[in-house]
Amino acid sequence: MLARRACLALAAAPFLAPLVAQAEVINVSAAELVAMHLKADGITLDFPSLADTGASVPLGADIVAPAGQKIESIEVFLPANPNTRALKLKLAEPLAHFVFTTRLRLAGSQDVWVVATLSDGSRIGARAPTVVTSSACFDAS
Amino acid sequence: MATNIPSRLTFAGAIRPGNTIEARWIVGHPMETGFRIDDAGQRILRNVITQVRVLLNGKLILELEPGTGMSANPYLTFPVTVPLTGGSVRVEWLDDAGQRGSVQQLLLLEP
Amino acid sequence: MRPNPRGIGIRLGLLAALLCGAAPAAPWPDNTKLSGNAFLPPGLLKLQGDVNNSPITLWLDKGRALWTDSSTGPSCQNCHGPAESLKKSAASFPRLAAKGQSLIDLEDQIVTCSARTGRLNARAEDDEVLALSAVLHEAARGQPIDVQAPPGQAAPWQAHLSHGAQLFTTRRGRINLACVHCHEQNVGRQMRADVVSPGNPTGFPIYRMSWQRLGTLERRLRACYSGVQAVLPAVGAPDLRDLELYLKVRANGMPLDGPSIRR
Repeated sequence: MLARRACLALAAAPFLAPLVAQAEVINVSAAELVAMHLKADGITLDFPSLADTGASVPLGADIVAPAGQKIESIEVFLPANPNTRALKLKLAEPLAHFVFTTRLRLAGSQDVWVVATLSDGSRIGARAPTVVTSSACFDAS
Repeated sequence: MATNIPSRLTFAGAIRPGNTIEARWIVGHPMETGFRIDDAGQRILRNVITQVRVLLNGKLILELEPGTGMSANPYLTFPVTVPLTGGSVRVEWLDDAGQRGSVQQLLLLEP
Repeated sequence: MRPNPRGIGIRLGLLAALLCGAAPAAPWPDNTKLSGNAFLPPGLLKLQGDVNNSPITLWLDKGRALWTDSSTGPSCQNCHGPAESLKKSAASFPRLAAKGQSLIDLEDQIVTCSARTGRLNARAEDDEVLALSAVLHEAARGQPIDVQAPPGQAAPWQAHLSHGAQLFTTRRGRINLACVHCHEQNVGRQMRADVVSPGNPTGFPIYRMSWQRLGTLERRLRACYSGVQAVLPAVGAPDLRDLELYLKVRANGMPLDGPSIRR
């Protein structure tokens, strides 16, 4: 029953856009991220180099804005995922230092990118690699 | 059909005015990506939490836009600076199916 | 310049070591009387122990709320009192159903109780049933598994147990393996990201990372069938209950330590 309602809602989405939340999907490739030449100073990432499962990979990020600047928003990108932006955090009250942890869902081995937009509009960003290992047995349960 | 989605909001660190503590939020949402196919061969519709708002004493401090790259039963820790007289933190969310939920926790100042 | 065979050998050896030694440097145990917790990587073990971070807590919170919920009929509390009073219950399933010859597990019992108290559409893998199972298994933590033949019904019980043992030792599926081949003969060996455990059912219900959900022993057994590429028995099939009986009796005396996280 929920599926049917959701289906109707999605079909009517263009007309109901203000009522039913539709996440904008921001897709950016790894090449585009590299081409931004983002400075990683101030960003420390905690990401396992080997993940048991792609379904849940823990990410920790400690972001310190350069002197005189504040962090306005943070984006987490997984360029090898079908929808590459995994998370966007908007700080309603910009801070000079922001620490967060979360769990990501990876479609496969890739780098995670954490990009912070600062108060002057510039960006800093860092990346960390991981290899997602497969489980041994196919599970049809 | 509105199912009661469980959620938990807890704090770590000394809750004293001016301290920055760590808030931990977890919510039991399946975060269906829309890429999976069920046993009958039908695509399972996407249903992820798309908006999260964190309010400190009613004032918005953080807004999140999660996507399909977040794992199911989403978990997030974030910093909260304790106000002078304490108060409460509230997390509200909205998903693709239009379901809303929220969880609240009081910031009880320690002596 | 001719390649140095010794240099190549060393490099291949290092590569092999890297490929084989995925997680901890120490080898995995090969003792068959261990709980699945002994085969968890440190990250998942830490997650399991962290109440505010572990997804299992979501089901426990839900279960505790459901335990005293009397919106559709009497609550669990009304008949059973606090969940702690049923702490020996989880350790004694599967049992022979009151009226017949069939075996039921704890989730079947919860479904039956749910129907009695107005929740008519409950199924074993529903979040509500799983939540209650999680609460009951948490209450039973530390209790030794104690599955015995009921007095006066030893014969049918023994028949189920023998059938379960037979299933455990029969080859099946396209991969043509029996349970014993992995869970007795190859405990501690790695298969890609998985480590073979002895299959002692002390940690159920489990939050399996690949399911991203809590699930029952029955679901895990069906997953094993698919692992050897065999036809999955239907949900609730007697074969699955017989296997569960055999696994529990095999683990009799081991303390329950669920609910837990698994890969």
